[in-house]
Amino acid sequence: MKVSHADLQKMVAEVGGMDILQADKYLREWADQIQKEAAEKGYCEIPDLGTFAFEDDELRFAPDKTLALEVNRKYAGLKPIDIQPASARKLDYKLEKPEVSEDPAAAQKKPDPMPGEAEDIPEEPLVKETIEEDEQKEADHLSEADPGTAADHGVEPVAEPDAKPAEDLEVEPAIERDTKPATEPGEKPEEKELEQPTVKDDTPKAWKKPEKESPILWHWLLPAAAVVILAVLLFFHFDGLRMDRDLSERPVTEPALPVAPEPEVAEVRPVEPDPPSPCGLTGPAEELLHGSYTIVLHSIANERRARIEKDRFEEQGYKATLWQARLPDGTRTWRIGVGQFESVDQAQASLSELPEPYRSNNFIIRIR
Amino acid sequence: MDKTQSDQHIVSIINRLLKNHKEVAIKGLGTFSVEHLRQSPRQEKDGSIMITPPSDVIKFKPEKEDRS
Repeated sequence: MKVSHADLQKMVAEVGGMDILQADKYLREWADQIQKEAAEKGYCEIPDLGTFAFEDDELRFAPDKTLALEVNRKYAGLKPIDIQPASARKLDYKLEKPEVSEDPAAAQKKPDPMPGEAEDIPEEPLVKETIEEDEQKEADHLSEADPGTAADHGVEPVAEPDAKPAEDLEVEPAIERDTKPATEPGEKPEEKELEQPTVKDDTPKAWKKPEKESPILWHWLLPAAAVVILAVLLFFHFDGLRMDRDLSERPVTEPALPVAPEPEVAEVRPVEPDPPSPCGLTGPAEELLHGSYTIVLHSIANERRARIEKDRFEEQGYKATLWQARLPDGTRTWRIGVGQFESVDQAQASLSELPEPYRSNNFIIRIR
Repeated sequence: MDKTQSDQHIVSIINRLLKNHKEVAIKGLGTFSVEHLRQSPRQEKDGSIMITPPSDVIKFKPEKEDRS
């Protein structure tokens, strides 16, 4: 609404208790004085209103700070907000998910594989280690229990030079240990291996034949069989765990396999479904998430009025929030926001759902 | 009423009108108004995008013809 010069004359006359002509005279004198002083001094300061000054032959006006704050009271104290992509700025409820499901340290601490966690990467080293330990123990046991059999391992590379699996290296210490007395100490290890057959060939064939086959069986077939058995067991174990998880996800409660204990299933369940998003314009009032955005519709100095407005929004189904904001002049105001959004874009998209005058008279802020 | 008092009355009236977001025209000086600046995005030098908060600001449009 525009207040014309004539309207202003009436107001001045009414407040000052004078007629319109006299009010008009005072108004003209007041305006002339400002123009004159600004032209002479370069500026003219009017207390409680502002400062006039000439710039580029044009009269400019800078409002008084207190007046400017009063005029802008609704938005006072707001700071610029930076837009970050939703993927870069995660909300609290999203951060909770990886803490539960993707903590490798926590997974490694668990002594036994849990259902649903059997496929986790940290589990694999644990299985490998157990296999290697078993093989090593078995090799050590064989070498200690029957030195003769260990000595015969030196024959194996000669008999089957082409077949040299990596596992052969694990039994090499036993070979070296037994062939050392037969070889000279100054020779290199590579030469030792070449000389080993000549040492072995000197042994009588009569007792060599039966002894030659048995260590192959004991030392290679047995670990191989153990590995195969372990692999089969692990396969069925993981397959069973997978079945358990599938069964637990089904709505129909079928008896799960006995492999999966119930408390372990209970630990995994919260990880699977995403928690319901607390974002949106409408819905039940939720605790405000740090870093999310809300649409401010009111800035009210009176707390009682502010609470009434907030209740009114809630009755209409909005997620309404009321909080107190501190203004630059030290005073406080109550602000009412509706909705809670992950990004500014989402908040702006929801503006169209607001009725007028809020649709065109609002602002978005970040909840800090 | 002396001139000082009348000046105070004039200022207090204009002050009150502006607080109520009214437009005030004064002959021989210009027109005061309150303009609403909407919330708008702005790109910073470092490439980040900031959204400036909305604000209500006082504007003044001088009467050029009255300048002697």
